[in-house]
Amino acid sequence: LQSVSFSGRTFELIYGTIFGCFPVTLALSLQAHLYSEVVTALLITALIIARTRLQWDGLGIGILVSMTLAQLLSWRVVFQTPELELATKLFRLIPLMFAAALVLRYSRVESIGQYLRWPGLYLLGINFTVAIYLLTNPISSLLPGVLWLVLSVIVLQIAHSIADPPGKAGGNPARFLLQIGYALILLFLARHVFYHLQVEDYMAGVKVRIVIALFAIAVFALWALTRKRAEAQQYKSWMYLHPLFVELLIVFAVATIALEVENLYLPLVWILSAILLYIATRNRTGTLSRLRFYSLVFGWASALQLAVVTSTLQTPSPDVFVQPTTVGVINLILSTIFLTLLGKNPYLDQISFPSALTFLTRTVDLIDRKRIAWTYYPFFLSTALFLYWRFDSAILTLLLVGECFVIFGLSIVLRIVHFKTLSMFALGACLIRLVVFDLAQSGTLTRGVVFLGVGGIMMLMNYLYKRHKSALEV
Amino acid sequence: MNTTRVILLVLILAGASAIVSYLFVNPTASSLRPTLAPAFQLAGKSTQIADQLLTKVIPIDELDEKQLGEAFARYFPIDTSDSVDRYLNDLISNLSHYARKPFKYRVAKVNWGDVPNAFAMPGGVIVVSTGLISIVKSESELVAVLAHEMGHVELGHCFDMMKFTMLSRKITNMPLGELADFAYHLLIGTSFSKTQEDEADDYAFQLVAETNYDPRGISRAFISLMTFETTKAHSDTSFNPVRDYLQSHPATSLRANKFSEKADQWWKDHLLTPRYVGVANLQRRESYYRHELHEEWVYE
Repeated sequence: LQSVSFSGRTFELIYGTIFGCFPVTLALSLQAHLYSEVVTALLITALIIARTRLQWDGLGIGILVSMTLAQLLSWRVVFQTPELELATKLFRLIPLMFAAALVLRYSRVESIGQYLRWPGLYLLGINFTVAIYLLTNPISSLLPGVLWLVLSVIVLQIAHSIADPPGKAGGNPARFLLQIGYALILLFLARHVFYHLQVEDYMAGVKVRIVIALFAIAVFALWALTRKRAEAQQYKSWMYLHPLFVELLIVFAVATIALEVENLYLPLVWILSAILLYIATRNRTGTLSRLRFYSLVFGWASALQLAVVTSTLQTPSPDVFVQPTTVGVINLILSTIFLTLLGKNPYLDQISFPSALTFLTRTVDLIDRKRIAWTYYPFFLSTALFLYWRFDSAILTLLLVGECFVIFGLSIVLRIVHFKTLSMFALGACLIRLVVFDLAQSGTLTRGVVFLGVGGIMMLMNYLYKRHKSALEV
Repeated sequence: MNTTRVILLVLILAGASAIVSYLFVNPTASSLRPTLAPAFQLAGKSTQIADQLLTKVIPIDELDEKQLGEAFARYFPIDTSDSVDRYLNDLISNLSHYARKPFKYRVAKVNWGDVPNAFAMPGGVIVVSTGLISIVKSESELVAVLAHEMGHVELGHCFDMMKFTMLSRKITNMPLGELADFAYHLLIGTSFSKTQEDEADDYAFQLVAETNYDPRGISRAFISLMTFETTKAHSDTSFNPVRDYLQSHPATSLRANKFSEKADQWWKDHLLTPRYVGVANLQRRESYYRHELHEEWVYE
């Protein structure tokens, strides 16, 4: 050993680390005592002050090891003795949180000429997260998830408001705060899936889990609305992860709706979402313009649900408002409104996606090239299938002629000439069905009603054609 | 900070205060165990849409299902001299007034020892085990079980499961009796998905709410089943994602909890509406429709 000669820096590293680890031994020997954390935190505080004065890097490493292990011991004690009173739990948790705050405050490292913020920030973030769990989980399993979201909002606000000068000298606190925020959101999502979704209790007439989901949606919206301040540093998380909060919000909302809303009303919810999303973003430029594309996806979901599920759904209730037929008809009216809105604007033009989703640009371009087909034909097909599977074959011809009339009407309103041709072909097919099927198989009364109805609709189409001839022959 | 963000922030803080205060005062679900069952149920919805689409594309219709139902009825004969068979069919014939499909609903009783089970087959044939009849404590619970099985038929779940078998019968001209035999063994060995079970539960709740029976019958039927499971040491509440995925039915405790809360909400809206329980009716094997007992009506 005598032959080994240490340089000053190596000495600082080795002995600093050893000294820094002393509080762990203290914490281990005192863990059963109430004042264990206070004493450990005091020793750590003394070492932090010493490290700031001496600037021994090894001491810093030792302090971090001590902090981590002492905290694990403290959490284990609180976790394994849930019968402890709230005040006692706080008394055991707060001292080390205070020490973590000191690690953050005194984080200047002269050897690298910058502040080292991440250890203190991570320690504080983990401390708060675990403390929330340990203190509130025994009261209600729903509290930790909600409070983690609140903590994520606080973290976001701090990250957004602090001065974050360029370069690494300041320690880039905003970057690490954002990372803590993302981790909290992930923890909430896991908690929601594993715990909240099974809760059926009500809060003022609404399921508690729905209230929590709505709260989460508001939090995600705040994250999505928060933009990097012009003078702040540009991190990869601001560029790639942060814009995806819009997608997180939509996916979370869709999952919540699919779980909470009855199958009967789902097509209505999807088509209303499509309309609202379109109206809210029709004049938007920038990356939020992508919501117009999502509104079309909602429209497709509504069309699919209507054709596949609503068309054969049964309900035991005689109430007219809970009948799949009623819901289907309302859905068709809303779909027509949606299609009319889409037809008034080239809604897929100038849509842009954030960096992480640029691969969707090509998909939107492909759809835009055949915009009419992708926008309208899924709805026309879904309507025909809904009518076919839902209604009695005796009145099917009349209903299909009604659909032809709506397509014809759209050709006038939207000035899409080939819809006129489509409606005429479809009308021809309906007339063949009228002669071949209805004449042969329907009862006299039904046959009379269908003939009169079809005749009336055709006369109306003829009247509209004459009136809007110029528009239809462009 | 722009105005929208400020408003949202204020709303979030107000919402958080309200939720946290509520949960502190009403410590909801303080000892939950983690489960992925609801998540798997949600994931099943998308595959169910694909399955339903496939069912619609295959050229089989309600008439085929009705014919198959007739074949099943021959497979499970009903003994009209048996009081339990009469009782069960009396209940289902009254419940089937709420059905929309053109089937004659029938209930057959089978003896599988003390195993409580019930399942539905295409065409409106429902099979109930004697074990199930022995664990339910009232007619409203039994009606809930029958309504659940009716839900499977009305919502086309049986048809979805049988579509390929029925199509092969059409193609190969398999006799109906042979098909019924095959289908019985198919249905007894497989189960509906969690998503379908959840839909049938919701259908049952709607149906029971339309009748004069107590909507709590559904949650009580699940509680009776849970009591049986606990007695037989079938209950396992530990966290096991593989079990959550493979389980055909949502966890019984979750279903009991869901419909207990739903019934509570229903009663809040119908404080002055009496509902029928039928404990004595079940014991006497005489349905409410035949013999109404004054003491069986309950209020909230």
